[in-house]
Amino acid sequence: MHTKPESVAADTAEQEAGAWAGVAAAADAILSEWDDVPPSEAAVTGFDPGTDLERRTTPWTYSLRSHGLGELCRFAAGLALVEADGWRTDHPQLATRAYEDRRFLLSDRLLHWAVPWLDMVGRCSTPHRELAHGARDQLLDLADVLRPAPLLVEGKEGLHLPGEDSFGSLADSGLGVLGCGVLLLRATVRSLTADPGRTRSLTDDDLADPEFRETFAVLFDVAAGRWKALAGRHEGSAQLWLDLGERANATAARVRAGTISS
Amino acid sequence: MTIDPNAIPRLIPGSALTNFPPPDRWDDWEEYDARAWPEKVKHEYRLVPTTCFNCESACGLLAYIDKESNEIRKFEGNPAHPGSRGRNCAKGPATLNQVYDPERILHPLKRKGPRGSGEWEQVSWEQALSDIGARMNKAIVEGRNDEIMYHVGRPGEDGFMDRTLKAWKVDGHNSHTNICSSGARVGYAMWMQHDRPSADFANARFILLLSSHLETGHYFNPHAQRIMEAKRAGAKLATIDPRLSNTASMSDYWLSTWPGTEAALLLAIANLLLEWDAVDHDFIRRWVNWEDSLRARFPDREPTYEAFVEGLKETYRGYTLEYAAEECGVPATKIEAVAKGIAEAGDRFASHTWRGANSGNLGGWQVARCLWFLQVLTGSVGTKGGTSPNTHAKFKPAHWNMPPPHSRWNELLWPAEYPFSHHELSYLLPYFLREGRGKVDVYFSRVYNPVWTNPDGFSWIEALTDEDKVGMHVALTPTWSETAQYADYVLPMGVSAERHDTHSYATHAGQWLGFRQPVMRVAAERAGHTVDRSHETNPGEVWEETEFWIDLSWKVDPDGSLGIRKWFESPNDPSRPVSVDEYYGWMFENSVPGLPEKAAAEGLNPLEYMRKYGAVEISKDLYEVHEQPVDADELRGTIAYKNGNAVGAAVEGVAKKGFGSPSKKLEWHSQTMEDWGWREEAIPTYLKSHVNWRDLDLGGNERILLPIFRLPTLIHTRSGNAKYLYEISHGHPLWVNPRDADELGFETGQMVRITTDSGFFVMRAWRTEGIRPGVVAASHHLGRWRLSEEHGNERWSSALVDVEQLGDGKWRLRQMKGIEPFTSDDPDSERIWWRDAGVNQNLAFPPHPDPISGMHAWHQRVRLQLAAPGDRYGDVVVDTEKSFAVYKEWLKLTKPGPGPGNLRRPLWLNRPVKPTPDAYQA
Repeated sequence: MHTKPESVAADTAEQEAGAWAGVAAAADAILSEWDDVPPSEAAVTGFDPGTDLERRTTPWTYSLRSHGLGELCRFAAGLALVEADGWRTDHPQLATRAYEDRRFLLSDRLLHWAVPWLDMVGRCSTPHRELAHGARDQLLDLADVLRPAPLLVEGKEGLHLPGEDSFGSLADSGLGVLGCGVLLLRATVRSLTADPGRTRSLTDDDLADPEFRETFAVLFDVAAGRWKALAGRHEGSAQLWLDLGERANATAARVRAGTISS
Repeated sequence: MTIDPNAIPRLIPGSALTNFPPPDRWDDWEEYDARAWPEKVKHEYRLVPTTCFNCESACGLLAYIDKESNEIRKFEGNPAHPGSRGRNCAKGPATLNQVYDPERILHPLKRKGPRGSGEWEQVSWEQALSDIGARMNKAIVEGRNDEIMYHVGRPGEDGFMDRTLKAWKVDGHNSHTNICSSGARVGYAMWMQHDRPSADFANARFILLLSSHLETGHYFNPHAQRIMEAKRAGAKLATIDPRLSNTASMSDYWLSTWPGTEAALLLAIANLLLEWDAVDHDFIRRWVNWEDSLRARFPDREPTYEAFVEGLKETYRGYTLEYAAEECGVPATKIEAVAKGIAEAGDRFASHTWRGANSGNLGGWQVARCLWFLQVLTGSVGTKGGTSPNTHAKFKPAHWNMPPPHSRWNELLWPAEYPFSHHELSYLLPYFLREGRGKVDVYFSRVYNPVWTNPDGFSWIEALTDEDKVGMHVALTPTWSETAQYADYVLPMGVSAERHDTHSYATHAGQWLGFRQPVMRVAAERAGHTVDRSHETNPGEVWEETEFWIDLSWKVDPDGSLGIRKWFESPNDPSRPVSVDEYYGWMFENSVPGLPEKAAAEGLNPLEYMRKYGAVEISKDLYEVHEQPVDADELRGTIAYKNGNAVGAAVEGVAKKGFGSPSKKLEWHSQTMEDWGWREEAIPTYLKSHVNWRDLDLGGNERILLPIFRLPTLIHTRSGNAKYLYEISHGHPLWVNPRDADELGFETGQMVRITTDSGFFVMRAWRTEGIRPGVVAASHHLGRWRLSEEHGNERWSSALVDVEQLGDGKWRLRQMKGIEPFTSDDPDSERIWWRDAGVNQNLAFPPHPDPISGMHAWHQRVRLQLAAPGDRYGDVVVDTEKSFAVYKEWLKLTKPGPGPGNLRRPLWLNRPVKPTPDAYQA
């Protein structure tokens, strides 16, 4: 077999494997000290990706030990190494498939929830801020290369079903999941309610109070601005953050109107 | 944070992991029907590989043949093809449209009325073969062999026609190359005989393109994927193009030059490399003919390498950054940045040029010569990440039972005025016929459309409708064309899925051989059926050239008395024609290194292997072929000899393969050019174009027209039968910079008249900053037309026109109606929503034959104005007398042969169907 030990494409893929491993290590480190919303798609969005993840890992004879952020990133790192090997051993079909699978893994099963999770963890937990935001930025940088959700200037027809956006249905998904535009962590709820004993759930009584609702709505206003700013900085995933910003705006309006449920 | 590499799992690709169906399941593949969603409807397929016929890349395709309906359902990429690696552009999958086009010519047609009247009758293959064969027989018996002419647009094969014409003893091979690429070819050939570059893009660190290879251009799909690999790994890309092509938009540097000044820019870079001493002296000392060059250009100097380098510096010292910036219209800082990129890349500098500047300008061939100069200076010739001569990466198998070369010379194709023309002066044929230089008795146009494609198409119509000039015109074509309308026979030939051909192209640093095959025939044979001729399994009676030429040769020489038939007899049974299995079976068995072993490893014979995979890799990572040792018994000067024959280069006392030039080295100074009277042009230099901006009245309404850029989704005039492609691309407005548009009073969508030296045409303007001021552009491909409502061209893509002869060489083409929906077996034909067929601008271009390369210099000096009263969109008005006068003016630029030794042409220069040396004697 002919090999290409000097393949520059392989070098690039190998560097990317390091980036993925870095995010995995950060996620593991945070998780070891974390007792709030765990870093998984099911916990953050309410969607269980188990069947889909199995479909993605089976061809690579790999079984995920969990569906958490660290494990998914390790899988992605493994795919990057397969790509590097593919270029070096002249199996371009494996290299391109590993690249494609990694890109879709980031696009479909990771980026949309992992970035908001890391962002909120960094905001709510000072000890974890550097680690979480470093991992967030690393994921966003990867997305700028792999470009899973670039901003479309025009012509979005057919991109999503009517009534959906990058995150799925636009119907009210409740405040417990990311669909509202913000991932509510326990620390946020405790801060909002000034009640150190609260879980991350709000009550109907909380939402019945107009003053609370206004304060609460501002949380979404601010988040919307933050997502929009993020879209401006990361063109490879800008559409996700614009959509999330729109969701946050919509939630803010619902909160102010008192039409949102706990 | 430290990352533990052991924490990354080692994934093991499973057996089911493939982007493509694995070859062991190609006979038994299942897929769900996407159109049946959400129902799950399973289809069983037989997958048969072939190669695309649309452009020249010959990318691999896989035909998905539905076992139940026995129809091709789709085409996808062939992962076993080493050039395209399973990937295709839009044109590959659109082959499906071409196979099942409801407008398709399915049976041989013979004209009933006068040529061009649009009246046809269906005839059998036997009738057509007998009639054509008898006429050819008469010509050959009477010694008029060279009145038979084969004019090819897309060859799509490699060597079969060379063999056929040799067997006929006919010097009648006529290429399209002089309206395509002979400019670049001559530029490269004057360095080394090899006539095109083969860049190792994937491993380059700096890539310089004078083309648009990320979107279109020759070998673009195989090249583009490797350019992107390089870019992904950090390579920088620079593109020289007056137009902001898709390629330029993806580049790190876009250098928008004045058309025709590109060589000046390249020489400015050369000057910088020499100034910076960023040159590979070891390479130049070993591989450039510096001793001969020194003697020829600087005879008074010490015969040392250092003196040669000093001479180079003096020669190019005038090409300063300031000069280049002024001449080319590109900021000096940008030119310098590109030069630095090239210098830093060193021997990992890759470049490519093919048409564009080389094909657009008087003296355009020097663009390729100057670009290769940069390869030479940086020592990036043949290196990893550098650029090789194409012949080092192209594989040429031997053909079975090859006839010897003939001893004929056809001056209609190889006239005395153009001894350096890389290919035949094909587009000048109407003028040569008009001058009485000869006649054509049987003219085959083969997948070629000169009436539409060549400059001055009305002169072609005049020639093709004059039976005293062209006795019989046989159009071999997979699709209707403007030229086929003026044929006596229109013979339907197959597209990629319907014919046999072999080919190999220089797509990367490796060699491969592709095998095109009629997929329905292969599927039928796999299912146990016997097929004698491919038209039995193709749609209607669509055939293939390979079998056609074999059977026609039998008709030309039915009893074998002309000595032709013997070359086409079966080796196993001389009483019948050789079969395609016998022919290609011999080739794969005997002349493809490694193929028999690969086949045996799978329990197949070589033909079965090629039928299974459609391609075979011969070699990979092929670098520095010129350094390969050769067996020699004498070294003299720069040349190594064996038994008195030059076999390679003598380099530091060692015999090496070298290059194909007379010195076997890279020739900075070409003694051949000097010997034939072109001393000033004999080194890489800058020649003033016929559209040099300094000569234009830019303050008035003169501008430079670029008319030849391709669109990524169409291919010349062969894709008018692909509805998918026409739905994507069906307009070609005139690109006008807003500054020019303001000066000329043009708004987007307004009709404008573009006047050339032989006539004018009318199209719509498009204001865009994607073109530099002073230059306008309109793409190739569009502007298709037909004379009859239902015949003559594809209704997906053509306008119905009225062609009116106004007398004294004056012609007018006027569109009667644009593209409209029509009723057919394909319901999509009633859903056509596009209306614009474009404008056949080439009709209004007079011929501009470059005196050295013979290349038609496509760029036009035009005058622009708003459309005049009475002008209609698509109008083309031409005076062929004016075209003829322009031809005569350009002819005066030539220096006719014979040259030294009373030769018609230098013997070492390549040419198709090369005759014996005695034929070169004038």
